[in-house]
Parts: sequence; C-alpha cells; structure tokens
Amino acid sequence: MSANAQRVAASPSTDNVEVLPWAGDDRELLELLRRGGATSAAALYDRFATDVRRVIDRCLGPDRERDDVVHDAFVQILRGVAKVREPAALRGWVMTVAVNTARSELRRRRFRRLWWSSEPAPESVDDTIDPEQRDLLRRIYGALDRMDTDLRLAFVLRFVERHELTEVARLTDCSLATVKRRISRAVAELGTRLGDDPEIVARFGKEAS
Amino acid sequence: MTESQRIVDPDTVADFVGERLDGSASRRAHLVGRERLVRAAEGDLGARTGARGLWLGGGVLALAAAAAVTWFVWPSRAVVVPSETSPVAAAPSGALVGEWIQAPSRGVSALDVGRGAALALHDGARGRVALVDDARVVVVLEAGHLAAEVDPKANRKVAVEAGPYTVAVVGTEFRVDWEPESGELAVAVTHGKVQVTTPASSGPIAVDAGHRLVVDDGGTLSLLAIEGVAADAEADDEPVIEAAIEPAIAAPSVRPKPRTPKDEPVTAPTWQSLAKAGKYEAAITAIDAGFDGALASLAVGDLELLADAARLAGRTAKAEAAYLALRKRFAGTTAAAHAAFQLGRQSSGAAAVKWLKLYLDEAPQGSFAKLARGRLIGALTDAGERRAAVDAARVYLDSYPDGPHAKVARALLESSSSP
Repeated sequence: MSANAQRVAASPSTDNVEVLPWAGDDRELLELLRRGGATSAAALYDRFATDVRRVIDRCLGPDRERDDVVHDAFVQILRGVAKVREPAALRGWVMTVAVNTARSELRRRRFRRLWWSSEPAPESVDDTIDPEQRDLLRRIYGALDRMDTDLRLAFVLRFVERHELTEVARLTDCSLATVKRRISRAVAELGTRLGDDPEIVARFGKEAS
Repeated sequence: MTESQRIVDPDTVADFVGERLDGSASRRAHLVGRERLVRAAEGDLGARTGARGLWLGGGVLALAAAAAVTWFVWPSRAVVVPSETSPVAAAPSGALVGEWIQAPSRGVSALDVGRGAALALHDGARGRVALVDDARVVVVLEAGHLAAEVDPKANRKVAVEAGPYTVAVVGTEFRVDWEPESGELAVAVTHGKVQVTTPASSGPIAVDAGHRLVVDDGGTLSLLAIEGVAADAEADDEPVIEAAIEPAIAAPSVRPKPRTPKDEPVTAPTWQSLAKAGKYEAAITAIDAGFDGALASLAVGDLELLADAARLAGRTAKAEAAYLALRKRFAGTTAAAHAAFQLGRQSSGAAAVKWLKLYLDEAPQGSFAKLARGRLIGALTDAGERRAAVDAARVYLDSYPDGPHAKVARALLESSSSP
C-alpha cells in the first residue's frame, strides 16, 4: 500500500484530527479506486470533495439538501470510475458526473414545484453569509429556478465556474453551437428576470451599451 | 444615468455567487461526508445506507438488499401489507423532519408525519421525512422497504423519492420495488393512479390501475398488465395528481386504455412494445408526433430501439435523425459506435466511408467490425479512393480470409495487381 493509501486508511473520521488533502496524483488514486474498498472511497472524497461541492453548490444554489446531492454524486462516481482509463481524464469525468447529478436534482425539483403547485419550504442558506447577501443569493437563484435547467447549467458553468465554452459543451454533453445558444438565452432571460428588481439592478447593474 | 437605463451584468452576478458558494465546508462537515461515503462503499448499514443515488447497476458498491416501498389506502380500501408488521404498530422514531432514520435490521420505525398518513421503515431501511406540513409530505427513501397508509380524505399530497425516481400520489394503492443494486424500479398500481418521474423524462409518467411500470437501469420503460387486477373504469376521471405539466416538456405517456373485465391482461401497445414485436411501421406511426421530442429525451436503450425501428421500417430520414441523436447524446458509448455503423450502412460514397471508419476507430473489435471492414471496401471504391480500397481489402483478407466480403476483396486485389 502506498504512503498515501496508508495515510487515508489510518485517518480516523473523528472531529479531533485535521483533514489532509489527498497528496497523491490521479494515477495513484485511480489505481487505488480500481482496487475498491473504503480506503479508495475516502481518498476519492478527499481529492474531489471541494470541487464537487462547489459545482453542485453553484448549480443548485444555497440548499439544505446539498450534502445529500454531493453524496449521490460520489456514490455514482464510485460506481462508474472503473470506466475511466486515463488518469488525466479522471477529474473531468468526476466533474461531469457532478454536473449530471445536479441536473437530475434540478429536474426532480421542477417536478416537485409543478406537483405542489407552490414552492416547497424555503431552502436554508449558510448562516455564515450575512442576511443581506443571503437575500441577494435567494433572489438570484429564484430567477435561475424559473429558467430551463439546461440554460441554468450553461450559465453557471460559463459565468460562475468560468469554464471555456468547449469545457461547458463537454460537461453538458452538447455541441459548441448549442452551448453558445444556451448561454445567450440564459443571459437574456436572467437579465429580464432580475431586471425588474431595483435592488438587484442597483447592485449588479451596468450601463446599457 | 437612471436605473432604468441600467441592465444586469451577468459577470457581476456570477462573481457575487462564485465568491459566496465556493465549495468550502467545515472540517466536521467534510469528515461526515467522507464517513458517509466510506460506509456506503463498505456496504455498512447493508444496502441501505447507500444513497438516493445508488441506482446505477453493477459497480463498486456491494449492495445486499433489494428495496421496496408499498403504499396502501386507508382502511376503507383493501390493504397491501408488505411484511408481517403493520406500520401502524411500529415504534415511533421520534425523529425530526430532515433527520435520517434507520429501522432495526428486523424491525420497524414509524415516521411521524401527522394526520391521514402512516409511514414506516422496515427491516433496516433508511430514510427521512424531507418535508411535512398540512398539505404535503415528502419522504426520501435511501434504500430498503417503506410501507405507508395514506387517507385520501385527508387531502394531503404525499411523495416518495427513491433514487432518481419520484412516485407521487394522493390516496391510491400501489407497490414500488426499488432495487439499487440493479437500478430497477417497478411500480405496480392496483387502484387509482400514480405518476412517476425519471431522470430521463422531463415530466411525470402516468401509470393506471391494473398496470406495472418497470424502469431498468438504462431508463427503458416497460408497461405490463397485472394478472387478475382490473383497471379502474373511472381512473381517467380522477385527477389524482394536479401537476401542470408543460406540453413542451411532457414525458412520453405510457398510459394504456382501460380494459374491460372480459379482456385478457395485455401489454399496452406502446411504440416500444410494437417495435419489439417487429411492427416497425406501426411503432414509428405511434410515436410520429412526438418523434423529435423523443430524440432529445429518450434513454439510450429506447433511442436505439427507435432508431432501429425507423431503419427497419424503411424510414431512412427518421433513422438517420435517431442515430445522429445517439451519436450526439451518448458519445463514447457502444450505442454511439453502433449508430456510426448504421449511418455508414445506410449512406454511400464519402459519407459511408466517414461513418464506417469512425465505427472501426471506436469499436475495432465490435460486433459489426467484420461487416464494417467489408463494407468499407465498397464504400471507398464508390468514393473513388481506389488505393485506400485496395488497402482495406488487404486488411479485410488478413482478418477474415473466409469472410462474406473475401471474394470482393480478392477480386479488387487481383485487378489492382494487373498491368
């Protein structure tokens, strides 16, 4: 067992130890994952948890079920990782699964909203964010909630995650032309939906060219 | 400059969001998340810890138990009890909304959701009440067996979320079997009507009484009649679900016509069942109006079925559109490679060359490799690429000296060596 694997295996999951980042490279991690077991699951989580949490956070918005969705994504990653052959492809593949998990969750919620005929109980927001900013986040994601899921993901991946267009296309499994079209529509829709909110315009506005 | 002349800047919005949602978590939250994944990987808590996401078949996680949900209506209707223990008799868990609960390995834990509904986790099942108020109840079932009684008179909407599926109901009688290991969901409706959402569909799928919907790991839908259970004659008049589904995103409906009592149980004539029965033209006619939408929403198995049905019905343009959709939506899969072969087979000249080469690049040892290498000889010849055709013939004979295209290949080699 490599030093990294030993470190992960020995790392107790109690609250009185520091979480050390996965220090190995992706080739070593992939080999560990192919052997399976708890050690590889822990290493996978340590390596990618921040990235997966971040992209799911940004796709869903502040969300009390975030940890469940992140867990779902990692379970799917564990189950499918045998398909990854090249270590260099591991991170991209992990992020694709994370985006797909977020998409499934958004579609599930779309159905929930249709079925309940009204919004479910408001989602909680990280209380480390001050109330004014929490409110702004709620309004922004309120507008995103009313957008088509594909447009929303295109906007988040391009503008918030700052991916290149080709990477957005890869993550969302569509052509470059489709991505461009979706981003264009997303920006227009978001501008319309948020443009009616004077506080939002004051805070995030720019002069029309 | 007034505010009315200002527009929202997407970059500024995105910066604001990005700075506040950066994926950070407390050390404790990280450890909890990691521990949860480790326990799922170990199969600790049986197949039950898993996750809502343990729905892809096969793989790393060894999941032991199949999961099942059974719902039944309040005592005014026949009761379907999935195990010896009634949920009503279960010990209350005392858990709060949002708190994960696991039933004892051989016992029952009740979920307290208030009036008109009694729900209980059975035999190691794990789940939580995600939302409860006067009008609504949402239960998330990670894995295992959940039983419920729902009183339709209480007028509360109840939904259970299992893996990627949501089963929604207001007073009905049905049973859901959720097997995370195989990724298969089965919903059998004995009274009333339910609606099921899947990741592959944009809207819910209605299932009426007397029918059983099975969704496999690949998202393929099958609707079967349940022996000895009559369809509700009034089912179509009872709007159990009040969802306002947008027509543009409505899921493919698999609702069959109600049967008369003297009818034998039959499989509903969905386009899938017609295609599988070899009635390709009828299958394509059945889905004709929703064909374009199906290209964008069907799961890979159904899309392959649709493409093959169109090809075998002689509907070349539709077949091409379906194979191209497979290439686009499921790039890198075996289905996409097969689509390349079929596109090559129904093309000619340079287009055929392109697709056949693509197939051979993607699946050099694939099930159509022999045919593709043989057809490539003819396609290259048709495209005027004689030298490449000769090379292809040589490759073919090296691999398949007795193959169906061997005669053509030898003739080409002989003619190319003639002065």
